[in-house]
Amino acid sequence: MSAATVVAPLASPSRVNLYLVIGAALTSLAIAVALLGLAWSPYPAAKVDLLHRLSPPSPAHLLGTDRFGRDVLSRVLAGGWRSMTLGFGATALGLGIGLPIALATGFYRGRLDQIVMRFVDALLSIPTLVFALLVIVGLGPGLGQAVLALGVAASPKFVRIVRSAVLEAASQDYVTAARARGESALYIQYGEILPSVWAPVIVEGSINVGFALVGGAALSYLGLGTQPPHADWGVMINEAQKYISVSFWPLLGPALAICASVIGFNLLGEGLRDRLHLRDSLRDA
Amino acid sequence: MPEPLVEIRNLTVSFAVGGELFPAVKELDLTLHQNEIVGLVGESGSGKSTALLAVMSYLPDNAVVEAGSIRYGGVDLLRADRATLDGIRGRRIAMIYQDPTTALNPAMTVGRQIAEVLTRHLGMDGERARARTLELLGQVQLDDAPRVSESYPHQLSGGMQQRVMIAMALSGEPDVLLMDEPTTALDVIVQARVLDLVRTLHRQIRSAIVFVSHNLAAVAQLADRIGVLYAGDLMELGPARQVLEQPSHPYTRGLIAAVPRAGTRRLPQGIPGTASRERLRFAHCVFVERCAYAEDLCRTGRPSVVELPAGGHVSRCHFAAEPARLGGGSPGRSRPAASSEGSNSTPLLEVVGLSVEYHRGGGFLGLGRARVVRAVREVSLRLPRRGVLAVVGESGSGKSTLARALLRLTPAVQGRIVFDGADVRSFDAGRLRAYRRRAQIVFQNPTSSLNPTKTVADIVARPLALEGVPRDDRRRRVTATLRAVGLTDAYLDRLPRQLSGGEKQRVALARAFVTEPLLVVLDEPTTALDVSVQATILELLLEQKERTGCAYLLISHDLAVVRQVADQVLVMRDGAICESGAAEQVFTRPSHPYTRELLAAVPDLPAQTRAAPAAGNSV
Repeated sequence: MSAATVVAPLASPSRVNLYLVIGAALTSLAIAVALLGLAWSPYPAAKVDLLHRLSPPSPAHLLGTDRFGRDVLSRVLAGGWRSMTLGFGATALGLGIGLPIALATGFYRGRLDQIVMRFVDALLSIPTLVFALLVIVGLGPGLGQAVLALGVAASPKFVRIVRSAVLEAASQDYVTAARARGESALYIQYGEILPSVWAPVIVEGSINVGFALVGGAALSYLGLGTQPPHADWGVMINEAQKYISVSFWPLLGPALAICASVIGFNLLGEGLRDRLHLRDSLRDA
Repeated sequence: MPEPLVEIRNLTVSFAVGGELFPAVKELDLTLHQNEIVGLVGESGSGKSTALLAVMSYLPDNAVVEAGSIRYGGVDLLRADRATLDGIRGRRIAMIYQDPTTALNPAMTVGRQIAEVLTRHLGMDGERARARTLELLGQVQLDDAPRVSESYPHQLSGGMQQRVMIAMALSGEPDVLLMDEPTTALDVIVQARVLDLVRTLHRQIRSAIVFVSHNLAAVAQLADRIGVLYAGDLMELGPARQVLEQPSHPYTRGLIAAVPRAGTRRLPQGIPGTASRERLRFAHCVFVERCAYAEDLCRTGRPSVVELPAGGHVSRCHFAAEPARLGGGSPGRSRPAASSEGSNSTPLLEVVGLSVEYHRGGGFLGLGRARVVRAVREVSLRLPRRGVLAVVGESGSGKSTLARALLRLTPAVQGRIVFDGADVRSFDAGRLRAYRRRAQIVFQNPTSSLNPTKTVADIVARPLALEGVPRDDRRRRVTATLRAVGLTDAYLDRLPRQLSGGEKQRVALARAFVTEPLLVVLDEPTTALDVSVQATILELLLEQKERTGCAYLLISHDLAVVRQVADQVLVMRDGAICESGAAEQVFTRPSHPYTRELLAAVPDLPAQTRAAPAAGNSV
C-alpha cells in the first residue's frame, strides 16, 4: 500500500458532526421536558393515589407510579426545571467566578498568578463532589445552596482551563498592540482576550452542565439538594431506590431523564469541540 | 542526455477537504539528473512542499494522487509497496525539513539519533556507527564533532541543528537529497554558511539535490536549473542563467523584480493581487488575475507547456515564445531622496544610553536567584522627524527589545528616551496614553497582530474610539485609511481569517496610521510575507510616510529591505550598537567587521539579472 491513494478519492470527511447533532437533540429534548413541566403535567405532581402504589406503566400512568401512587411522568416533568437549574445555574456561577480569575491571572502573570494558581491547584485536588459537600455542610441543604455549592466547586476547573487559553491569547501581538495604543487592562481582558477564548469556555461549559446535573442529582439523592415533597430527578431516584426490590418502574423515568441529558450535554460539548477546532484548522488551510 | 535519476510525469495531487477535492499540484513534469541541483521557487500555496512529499510518499492522509507517476530506478514511487519504499526513503532519497527543532528528538543526543539511523537502516554495529557519526558531523563542517555528538538538540543553535539534519540525511549516502526551505528559519549569516555547505557537499557527494525555497536569491546561489512554481503549476523551468536572465513567464519576471536587491537602492516592484486558490483555477492560466499581459486567450484556455529555443527551457505561458509581447519593462523606480529634516533640528526621538535587562528564572514568587540578562546595552540613537532609521541585527541581538522599550512595553533600567522634547520614561499614566497614540507599532506576523474575532472595521476603528472620536467621524476616517492602504470598503466587515497575509498586514498598517502618529515602529513588517507581496507593502510604507509625514523605526534582519527604505542604519549585536551611520555609507563603506560579514551574507541575484519589472506595475 502506498501512503497516498491513487485515483480513488478517499472517503471524504463527513460534514455532518454526529456528536453535535445527537447532543443538540438530546439537550433540546431535556430542556423541552423541563419547560413543558413548568406549564403542564398529566396529573398534579404531588397528587397521592394510595390505591395505585408502585404500579407498572399503564395507559393512565405511562411511566408508572411511585410509593405514594404519584404519577412518575408528571414528577419527571415537574422536577425537570429544578434539575436544569442545578445544571445551568451551577455552570453559570462557576464561569462567573472562574472567568474573571482566569483572565486576571493569565493577563497579569507574575506573583498574583503564582499564588492564585497554587491555591486553585490545591482546590482541584479535592474531588468536585466532595468539595460541593463541604460547601453545603456550611450552608445547609436546599436547591439554591446546591447550585451555589456546585458552582463554587466547578470554578477551579474553569480557572485552570480558561487560563491556559488566556495565556495563549495574551501572548499574541494583538494584545501587545492593544497595550501599545494605551488600552486599559480591563478592556484588554474583556474586549480583546475574552472573545478569543469563547471556544473552550463554551465546550467546557456544556460538558459541565451535564456534570452539574449528575452532581445535583447526587446531592438531592443524599437529601442535601431539593427537599421532598418537591420533585427533582435526584430526589426521585433517592425515593425510588428504597423500593427497587418491589418495583423498579419509579426509578426508570428519572434515571432515563438524567442519563439522556448528561449524555446529551457531553456529546454537545464534544461536538462543539470538534466543530470549533475544525474552524481553526480551516483557517490555516 | 543521460538517463534521468527521478522522473516526475504529469503529477496531479489534490486534497480532500469537506468532501471536495482541492488541487494542490497540477500536471507537474520534472526530471532530476545525477549530480545536479534543481532549485524550486514558489510562494506560499505554490505546491512545492506537496511535490516533495509526493516524491517521499509522505503525503498527508487526505491527499489524493489523481494522476501521474514518479519513477526512480525502475520503480513508480506512487504505486510501490511499503517494503520497496522503506528501502528507498531515507536511504536513496533523503529529505531535510524547514524547521530542525521539530524534526530532531529533544530527548536524545544528536549523536545517538544519527547512530540509530546507521544501525537500524544500514545494519552497522555500534562501534562503526559511532565512528561514521563523527565522520558525518565533520562532513557538515561542525567543529568539535565529538562534543556536538554528545549534545542534545536544545544545546545547539539553529544553524548547527540544521547541519545535524543534513548529516543525518547524508548517512545513507543518498542519490537524491530533497531540501524543503532548509535556510528559511535561519539568520542571514547562518543561512549563507548553510548555502556554502550545500555547495561544498554537492561537489563531494555528487547526489542530485532539489532545493526548495521561496527565496529566489538563495536558490540563484546554488541551482543549475530553476523551476518556478505558482498556485500548483510549474510556470517555468530551465537552466538557472536562462531563467534569471531571460525569464519567459510574466510571473517569473514579476518575481525577479520583487526581490529587493542589496546592491542598489532601486525599489522592488510587487505583483498586485494574491495567488488564486480557486478550485477551478486550472481551467485557465492560474496567473491570469495578476498578469498585466493577460489576453482573452489566457482567461479561457489553460496554457500548454511551450518549449523555448534554448535547450531545456520550458514555460507555461501562451506567449512564452513571443518575448516582445511581454514588454521590455522599465527600470524600477528609484527611492525618493531622504526627506527627513536636517539633523541639526531637534529630533523626533532621541535615545541616550538606554539599557534593558531581563530576569530569567527566579523560581516560585521570585524567591530563587534570578539570572540577569542585559538585552540592550547603552544604546543611543537619534531619529529625525520624517526620517527612517533601521535597526539591523540577527535574532537575539536585542533589536526587538529595544523597540519595545522605546514604546515602554518593556521597562528600561537606565538611559533617557526623549520624544518630541519630553522624557518618555518619566510619563505618568495620562501622558503615557497620549504618547502611545502618537507612537504606533506594526508587527512581523500579521495573523497574530489582528484579533481573529473582530472585523476589519472594528480593528481599525478602535484606536479612534480610544481617542474619543465621534462615531460618524470614525467611520469616515476608517474607510479613508483603508483606501489609503489599498483596501476597498468591501473589506470593512471581513474577519482576519478571510484575508490573505498581505491584506492582513495592510489592515495592521491601517490600524497604525489611522490616528496619524508621528512615529511608527515597524518590527520586521515584511518578513512573514511572500516576496511578491513584500514589495507592495514596502511601497505602501513609503507612500504612507509621504502622506502622513511620520517617521519610521524599522527593525529588520533583511539588509536588502533595509537598503531600500532607510536613511540611517544602526547595526546591533549582543544588545549593543556596533555601527551606525547614514544608510548609504554603512552599505557601501561598512567600517565594522560584523557589518561587513552581514552584508556579505545577503544572497543576491547575479548582477546581470534584469531588474526590470514585467508583471505590471503596482498602482
